[in-house]
Amino acid sequence: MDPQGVGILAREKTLVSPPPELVVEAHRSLSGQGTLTIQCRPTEVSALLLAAERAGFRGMRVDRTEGLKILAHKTGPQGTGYSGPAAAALDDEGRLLLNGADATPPGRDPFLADAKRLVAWLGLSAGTRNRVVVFYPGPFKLLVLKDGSILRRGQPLRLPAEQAGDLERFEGVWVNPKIWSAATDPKNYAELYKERGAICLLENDKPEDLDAIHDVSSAMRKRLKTVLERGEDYFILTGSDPAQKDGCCPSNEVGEANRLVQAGVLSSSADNSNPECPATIYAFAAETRRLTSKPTFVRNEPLRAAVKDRIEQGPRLSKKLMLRFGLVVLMAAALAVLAVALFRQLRGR
Amino acid sequence: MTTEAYFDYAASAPPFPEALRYFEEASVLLFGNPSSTHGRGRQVREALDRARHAVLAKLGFEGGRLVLTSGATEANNLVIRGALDADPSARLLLAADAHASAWFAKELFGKRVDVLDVGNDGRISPARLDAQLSRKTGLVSILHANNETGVLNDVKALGEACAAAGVPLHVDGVQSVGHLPLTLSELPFAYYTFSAHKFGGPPGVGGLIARNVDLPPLIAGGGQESGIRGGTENVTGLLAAAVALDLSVRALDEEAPRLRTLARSLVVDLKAAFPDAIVNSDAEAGLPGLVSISFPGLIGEELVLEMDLRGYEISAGSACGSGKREPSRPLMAMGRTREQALGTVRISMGRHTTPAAVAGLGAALRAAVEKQKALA
Repeated sequence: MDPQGVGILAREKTLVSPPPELVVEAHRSLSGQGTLTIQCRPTEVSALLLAAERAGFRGMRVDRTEGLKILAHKTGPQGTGYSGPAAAALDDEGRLLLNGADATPPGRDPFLADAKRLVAWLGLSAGTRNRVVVFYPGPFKLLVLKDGSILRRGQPLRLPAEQAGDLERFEGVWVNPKIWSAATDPKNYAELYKERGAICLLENDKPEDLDAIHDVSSAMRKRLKTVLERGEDYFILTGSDPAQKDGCCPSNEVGEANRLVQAGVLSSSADNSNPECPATIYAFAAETRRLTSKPTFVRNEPLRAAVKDRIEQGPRLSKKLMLRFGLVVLMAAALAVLAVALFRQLRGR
Repeated sequence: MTTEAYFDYAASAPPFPEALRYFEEASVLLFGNPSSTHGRGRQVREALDRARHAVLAKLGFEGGRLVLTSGATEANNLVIRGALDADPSARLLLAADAHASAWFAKELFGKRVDVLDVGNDGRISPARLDAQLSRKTGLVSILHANNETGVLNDVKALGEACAAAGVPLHVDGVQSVGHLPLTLSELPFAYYTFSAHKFGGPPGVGGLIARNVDLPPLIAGGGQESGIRGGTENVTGLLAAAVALDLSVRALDEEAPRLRTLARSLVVDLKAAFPDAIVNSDAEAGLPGLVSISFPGLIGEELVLEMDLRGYEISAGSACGSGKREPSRPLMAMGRTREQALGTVRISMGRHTTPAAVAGLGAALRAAVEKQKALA
């Protein structure tokens, strides 16, 4: 029996390679200062960090002492500033901390201005020679290096050796960790900013699955369209996901919206003020930030445009569907050739 | 979040700083146990008696007593459980719009509870009460002011009907104490209950006011409160409550009409924007500053959260029960449909509410309702 689970909410919980819904459940069952430890394989780190982030965990850190694990906290460190080898850091609340900048006065949110200011700060690329694999374990969601490289937590990336050395000393970055066979080059913040704006900092690397829009009811699509047309930041749904065991007021709409969250189309923020009657705030992916007890929003205009386009244009052939269609065409052609050959043979008799 | 943007006074009012200061000072000075026989104990007991008298005097009640409790829920439990436990053949006639702290009896005592109907205006008519009283009725329990709609009952007329039948009347006065001018001596009730945090006193302090209390204790042991309620009395809490009540009652002459004007302007504003909205409260004759309004087809809880994100704190009447969303029972008792009841919000104002805040709330609520209607 878990002694911490008797009568009061647990302060600690450990899961082994869990599916995302168990991570969500763990977030619900932990106390406000609780920590979740997720033991996992190297290939699972990225997906589980994302699941923990979506569940609402903060200040995640990957640890490799006594096996690979993710430490996820319900309450993240309240970062007031950043100083280190990177140009800026982004925490899990969505706070952009510029290196050496003064702490933001309460009540102000300079995110958009700082994201723009950061572009001007960046220097030239550190070059491409003598690259090594690095892994940033956290606790920040990402670091923007001085040459604009985005170093995301939990993703093996290739960086110049000199840059990696500084990061290893000051940020605890793992250099050539050997447990990842593949690493990619980091994306550049200045280029992403030019393309997508400040939202690029809040987005995940995993592309959204817009096909999921066509797997939900027309009522949900209409809701999304209305949010887009009215220029609303968010919409609210009460009730629980029917997939959740013992959830109060099961709502199909909540289930659909949660599927869109999993597909990376929406982001959600649970309001826990009334545990008897759960309410969830949904915005488009990456738009929700929780700097205080209430969420604030940054428009993900590129995604909004893509969703609007997809709703208006209807379903498109996904790669999987195109492959299936191609196979069907190929089989039909083969059958036709066979039929013609058979027909000729019979006629020849 | 500013106090001006707080519109949930009926849930809990902001405490008076004067009451809190008194609480702090009294906590330092009056730390003795009022049951102790030494000097410090006597000093605390005297302070307790003074606070008791101050509360009763402020409510215009003479010749009776105040039993100190942890709040109105305990006081309501004390009355209802006490009455039904004391006489196993007695039946309870319980108002259909009763607060949950009295409605528990429906589940606990089942067949011994009869439900007293309320009219479409939310009031209980004396004739209806008279018709529903039976020889077996051992207690009638009603609200003075409904906590969701602010609608007031004519306690005098209802009390007279009960007195004529020889049945004690329990009045839940949680929303009326400190919010209405009261001369309790003129009201023919047997038990009147209240809670201090509703009028700017500290939470955890409430009481039962009665001419005679002949009830078994809900909390036994210690013999405090003449054996009716065991446990060391919350003396500092009652002292602070007395200060808060004094300040509330003294401000009533100015506050009540001011709050009625604000509530009226909000109702006019909302009805002009949404003609299909249903107003459940009575801005003229109900609790000052309480507006209950239904937007059919919407979900009150979603509007509450929407308003919270816009910086205004209001409340809704619906709640989850048995795994599904339940509409407000008091509103259903008033004849509202499920759809109307689910789309209801309550806005309750108080001493920090300003005309500018009400205008801001009105604009925010209009925008929230329009958005929810578009998304529904």
